[in-house]
Amino acid sequence: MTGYSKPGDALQLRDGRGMALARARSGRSGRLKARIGVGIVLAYVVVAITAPWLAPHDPLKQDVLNALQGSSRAHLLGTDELGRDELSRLLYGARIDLPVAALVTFLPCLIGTAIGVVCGYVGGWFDALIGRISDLLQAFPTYILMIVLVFSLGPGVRSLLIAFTLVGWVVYARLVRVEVLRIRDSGYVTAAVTAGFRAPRIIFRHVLPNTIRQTLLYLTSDLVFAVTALAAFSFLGFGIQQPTAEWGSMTAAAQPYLGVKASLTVWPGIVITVLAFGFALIGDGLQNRKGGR
Amino acid sequence: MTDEVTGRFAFVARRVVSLVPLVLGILLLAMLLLSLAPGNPARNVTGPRASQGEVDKVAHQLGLDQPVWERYLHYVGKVSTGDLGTSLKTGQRVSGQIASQLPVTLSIAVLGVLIALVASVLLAIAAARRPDGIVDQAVRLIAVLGIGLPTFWVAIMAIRLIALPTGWFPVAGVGQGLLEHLRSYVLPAVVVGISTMAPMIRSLRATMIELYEAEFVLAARTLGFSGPSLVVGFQLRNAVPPLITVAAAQAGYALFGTVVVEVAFGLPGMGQGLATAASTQDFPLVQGYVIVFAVMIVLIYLFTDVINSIVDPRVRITA
Repeated sequence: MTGYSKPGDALQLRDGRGMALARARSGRSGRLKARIGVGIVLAYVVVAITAPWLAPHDPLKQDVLNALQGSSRAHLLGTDELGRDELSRLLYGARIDLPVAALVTFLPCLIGTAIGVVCGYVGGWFDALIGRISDLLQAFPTYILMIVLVFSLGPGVRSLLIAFTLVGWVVYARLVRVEVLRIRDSGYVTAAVTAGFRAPRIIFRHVLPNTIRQTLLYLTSDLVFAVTALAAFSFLGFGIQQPTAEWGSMTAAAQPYLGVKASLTVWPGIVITVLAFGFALIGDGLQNRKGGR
Repeated sequence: MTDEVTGRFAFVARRVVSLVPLVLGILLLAMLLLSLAPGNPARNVTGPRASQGEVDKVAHQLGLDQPVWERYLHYVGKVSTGDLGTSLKTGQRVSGQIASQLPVTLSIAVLGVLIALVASVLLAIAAARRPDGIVDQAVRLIAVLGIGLPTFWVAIMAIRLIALPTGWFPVAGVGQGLLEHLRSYVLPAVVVGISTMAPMIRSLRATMIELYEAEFVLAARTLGFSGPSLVVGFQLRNAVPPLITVAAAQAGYALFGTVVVEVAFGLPGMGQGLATAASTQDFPLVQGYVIVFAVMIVLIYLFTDVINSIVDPRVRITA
């Protein structure tokens, strides 16, 4: 904010409601949102860990004679097209979708941050080279590039991880690079350099902690994307394959039975949406606390 | 006036020229990546029981025995004449197949983005009227929920909840005639719209609220402007360039959404084609799809720059 007062300050045109009040309120609702989000994600983590005890049946055990059954005491949510217990498959899905989503988000974040720090702090030809590469990668349609990569490497977790990492590091590198450039010329870094601290200590103690906020904000939105995109890739048949209990491929496998037993496609979608919603709430809460809109 | 026109023309021309190395880079990257694919494409054509001699012969026909850079130059030469090669499975020309599917994909993607634009303008205006009010809270909830909804699932739910019970829309495939075509595109386009609108709502809502406090809007309000003439004439008009930028950034996601939606609805578009080509390991076909999709995105970015340069003349000077 600049020092002089704007016309609006004197006129109080903002419907008589002060900005400070609105800020405080959005800060409080931000905290609440973030808490609900963390609660949702934690619930999924607990389910993922305890799935073997929670699940009433083996998620892979087929019973074709009892396929597409409705809800019963033995099968609370009924059975799928191969007679597998739907509830157990949904629970076990958390052991695939959640860690894979986390992995395909955190790895690009780590690699991108490392590259961004070097680009911003050291600069030179490395910075220029990375700038060129990231320009090309950013111009390339992300999703198409991912499909090509997963196609080339064959379906599975490993291909998804490589595809997400090769595509995803760019944003983090750019984000961190800009922050590092900003921080590098600030007083406290100059002071640390003058004090004779070595570069690694300055980077880890003084520079990186100040870039984390921006990175975290992007990370949460990336997690939302990863949860839905992973399921979408599996739905298309490029991701995690049947018979593994994974929500996207479960939806695809159940689609032909939409007219017979629609709940088989409804449940995986709800489970994905709630998890993505949890991550989105965390991101939204962080954004609000930052005072942004 | 002539200066204005030549300036705009020079700007567009500069942008177009700068796209050439980009497209060449995309071509190179696509070829390099696809050459990593496991398995021998030639063996894929001949079948598993063919002799090594037969496989080598097919590999030679496909040019697979040449080094990558030679294949690249050869391929660039062919692509520049509009030849994308032939499918390994059907033996048909890749360009022909893609050209027949392009209208389906384009219709759904464009309709979808238009739906998203209209929805986001209406919702953002409603939300920005009273920040933190009940409407604003609801719109923000829609925006947060919107990014977490899996597109493929929304598509299936649309089939289950709208297409199946009402019978207004075909559940799968495309009918004959223009009207039937449109009828089968409506629901997929709405799904693509839903999956792409959330970031647009967020961005437009934020800009509208910010602009309400901008000095020129304050000036307009003190001059007596209010209601729609203020919102549309002053706020929305200046919120258009950032909205277009967000919409363009979403275009890639809209295309991916279209791929998913085509598969879910069983529509004969490029997305369905790409999924089939990938599952049958038909690599010239996959390569063709990748290039056409990439060029589409590049053209969307160009289109955005041009639109922005018309709406906001400052862009021409800084770019």
